[in-house]
Amino acid sequence: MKLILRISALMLLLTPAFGQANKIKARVSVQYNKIMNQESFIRIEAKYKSENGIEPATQVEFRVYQRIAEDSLLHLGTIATNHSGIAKFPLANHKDSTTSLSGNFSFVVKIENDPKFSDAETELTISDANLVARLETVDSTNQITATLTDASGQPVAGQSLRVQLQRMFGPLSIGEESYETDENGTITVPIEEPMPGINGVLTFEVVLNESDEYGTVKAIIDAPIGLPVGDHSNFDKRTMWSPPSKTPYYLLIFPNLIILGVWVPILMLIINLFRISRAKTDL
Amino acid sequence: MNTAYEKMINDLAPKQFSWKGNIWVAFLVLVILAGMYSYVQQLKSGLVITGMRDYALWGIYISNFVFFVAVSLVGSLITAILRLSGVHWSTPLTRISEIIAVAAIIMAGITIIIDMGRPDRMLNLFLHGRLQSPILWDVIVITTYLVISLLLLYYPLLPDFSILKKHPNHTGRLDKWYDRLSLNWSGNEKQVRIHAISLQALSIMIIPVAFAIHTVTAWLFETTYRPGWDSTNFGPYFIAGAFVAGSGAVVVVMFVLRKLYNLEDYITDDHFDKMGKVLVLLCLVYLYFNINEYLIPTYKSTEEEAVHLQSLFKGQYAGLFWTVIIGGLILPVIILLFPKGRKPLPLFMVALAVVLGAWWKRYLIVIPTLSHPFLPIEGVPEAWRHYSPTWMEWTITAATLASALLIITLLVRFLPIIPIHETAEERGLIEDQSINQSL
Repeated sequence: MKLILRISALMLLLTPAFGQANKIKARVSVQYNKIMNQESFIRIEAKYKSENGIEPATQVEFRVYQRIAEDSLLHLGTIATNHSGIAKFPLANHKDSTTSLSGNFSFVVKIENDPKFSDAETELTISDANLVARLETVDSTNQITATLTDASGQPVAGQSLRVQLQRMFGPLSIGEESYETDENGTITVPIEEPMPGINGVLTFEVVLNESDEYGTVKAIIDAPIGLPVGDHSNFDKRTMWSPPSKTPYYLLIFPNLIILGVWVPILMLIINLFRISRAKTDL
Repeated sequence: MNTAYEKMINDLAPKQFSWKGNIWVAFLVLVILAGMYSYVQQLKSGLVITGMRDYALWGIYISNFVFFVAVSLVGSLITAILRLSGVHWSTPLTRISEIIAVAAIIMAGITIIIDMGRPDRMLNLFLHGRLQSPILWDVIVITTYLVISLLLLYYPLLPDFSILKKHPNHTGRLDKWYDRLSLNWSGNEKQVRIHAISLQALSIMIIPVAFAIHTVTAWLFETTYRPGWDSTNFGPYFIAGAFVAGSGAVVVVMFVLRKLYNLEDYITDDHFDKMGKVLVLLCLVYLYFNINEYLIPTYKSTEEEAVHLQSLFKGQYAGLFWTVIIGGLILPVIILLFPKGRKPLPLFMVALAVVLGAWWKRYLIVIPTLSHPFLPIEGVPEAWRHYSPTWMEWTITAATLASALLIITLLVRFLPIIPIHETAEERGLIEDQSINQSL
């Protein structure tokens, strides 16, 4: 009896271990993203190695914590990855009470008790930074000026910023690949080529991309310096692809004329049958 | 009464089925019942019971529909085109071709409804239909052709019904029907005048409508940008093929009816010889369009067309393709060029091969193209990449074919297979209208 109890206890202890051993190990990468005056979020991407190569880990639930002390975590929430293995966890007011004096804050992202993937934990420590972009005109030349500062408002020098223009299928780089901030934390990029924009508005982005220290920080500004593009939509016009109420006139006129041209004689031919029936005595 | 005329009425009046006829009808009803069972399953579960999926979204229902539309064109060829051309030898074949045309166009309309996953939404086509869509054009033109075909079948029957109602060998019940359907036809001057004008108008009207019905069917494919369908040749190509299929069907039916009803005096070897000549001419025209349809894309061999054509010439569909082209088109032309090939039995066998070839040709027009879209097939289960009709699809399709044959069989049972009045006139058995009135 004792032996049975001991074996049972051993099995209970080993079961989670065996369970973990049979699970897949996920590769998790975590990034901090901040869009000035809009939102901050943690981008989590999970992958795993299968027989077919590296595949996205879908529908994996992540628990997101913020470290508030050496041994204390504050649970912020949970989120699951989408069909591409990516989850975007929105952050709100995380700096109010937890940011250290240096402006650093840490997040811990965990997989816990997932049926398919083994438990995993990733920690991300970043410093808060602010990026301010503005449009200036110097000697009739438009230029984008952007300044990067840390949590205490001090300029951050030596960081690579990218300037790009929002376009329908992705950003269009402006000028060089990237510009390094000077001792004032500032870059200046001239906008020389005239570019088209809806109603003449161009939306520029200045991006500090995937910095180890600050994460990704983006500033967006609308600049009314583009060549106005008219709205060429034919949504309200009579086209071949519009709904029945907007059928082109020629398609309403000619087919209906043809239909009338055929069906009026058909009706007359049907009437002729009655005429034949009535003409039985007419000789 | 003229004895020759009386004999002709006896020969051509509708006759009751023999035991063979009853077995034939029972067989057709069984096939239709099996198809109805499958169709009920389709109504319950949807088109998932078929082999059609996202890519092969048209299957044998649509190829069968195109076949029916093709066969229906024969009414315009034999009745209208030959009538307007002043050809009289085809008179005994007009009723057969009109019956085939009516049966085929009815089943074409029904087949389209079968292809709809939700037939209860049929009304939406009329309520929300867009005149920009060839689908709506097809619905309009099929309905128009059906009405004209029915009129073209009915008008020449008026004098025949009048003859039949007075024929002494009939049961009273049928005579009453013939009486009603004859619309008081007495053959007086006014009736004959209205009848002649109407028939002439119908013969003229049916030709453009017949051309429209198959051209619009061709446009359903042409306006869909796919390899194998991207052709301006499709309208005349379809019409040429339709005349081949329809003429083949007429030869098959006229051979069977001649045998069953001993109509050798009316459907003679000369009719077979002439129909053989018509068929060989039509096959040659269709062959010419086939050469156009395949040679030029092969010469250009754009990437997607080349993949599609290779699957026809050397690949998955090669066996079927060459069987259809050689067995259903080239060999018939060779055989029919010789007078012996145009004798009734050889012509019947050739026509059967032509009709079978015509059905499978529509399969080859519809299916391989859908298996080779311009954009690569990605992110779908392996089974969706290929189309293979399920047994339920086959059962439903067989039921539509059986239904067409049943319509033909029943019309043959109750209508004179050969126009009595017209044949009598051509043979000089009715010298003037008074003879007809005296019957």
